[in-house]
Amino acid sequence: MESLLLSAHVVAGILFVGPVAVATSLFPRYAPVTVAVGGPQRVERSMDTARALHRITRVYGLLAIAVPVVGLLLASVQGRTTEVWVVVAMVLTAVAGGLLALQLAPLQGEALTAPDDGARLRRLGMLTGLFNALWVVVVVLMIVRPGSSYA
Amino acid sequence: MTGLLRTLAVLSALETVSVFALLVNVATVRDGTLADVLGPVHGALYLAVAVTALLGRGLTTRTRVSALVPVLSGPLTMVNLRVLANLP
Repeated sequence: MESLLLSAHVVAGILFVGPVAVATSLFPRYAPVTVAVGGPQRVERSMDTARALHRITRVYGLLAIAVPVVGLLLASVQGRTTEVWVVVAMVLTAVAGGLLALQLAPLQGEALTAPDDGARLRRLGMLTGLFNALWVVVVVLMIVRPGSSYA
Repeated sequence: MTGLLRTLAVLSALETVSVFALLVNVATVRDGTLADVLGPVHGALYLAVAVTALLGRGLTTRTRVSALVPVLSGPLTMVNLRVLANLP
């Protein structure tokens, strides 16, 4: 049972969170802007690509809810919901999820319906960096497990 | 009422119920098993309310800060949202 849950947890983390990280990172590069940009950037910007990336962000973001759900189940099966690394990881995951659902996805939607001069896209880029950094910290916590009895 | 405010209203109501249940438990029967279940549930709801209030867009600073206060985060958020809903 524990092996099954752990496998599901890791696979969901790779296959569902991974695409969200890539799609949110690429979105500001492809989303339309109102000001004319020169160089190779002009060819790259495409409404269709940006729309596809936004769709990946939303759909895989929803699927990614499976990761904390299975993780929580696994932690309670193993009886380590009170270990410090689990609690810290839960808080960071909640912040990352909130960032995705309450900032990244709505900002992407606005960037598609009402493009601006690129200020919104720069903000999106910054928040996406924060989002990905949070996942890096969570993964390191999962491997190092500070405060665990068997580390 | 927007989706964000409705979500926050539901979450804060649930959080208020969970903290109330915890307090009633500690004041009366002090059941350890009950606390083992209620504690994590309340923790999860507190985290959900705090993150939603902090990262949600278009909320007042007052709503954001009071959503972080331990124990009172649920009730305070309910009051703040009610005040917000009554504004013209």
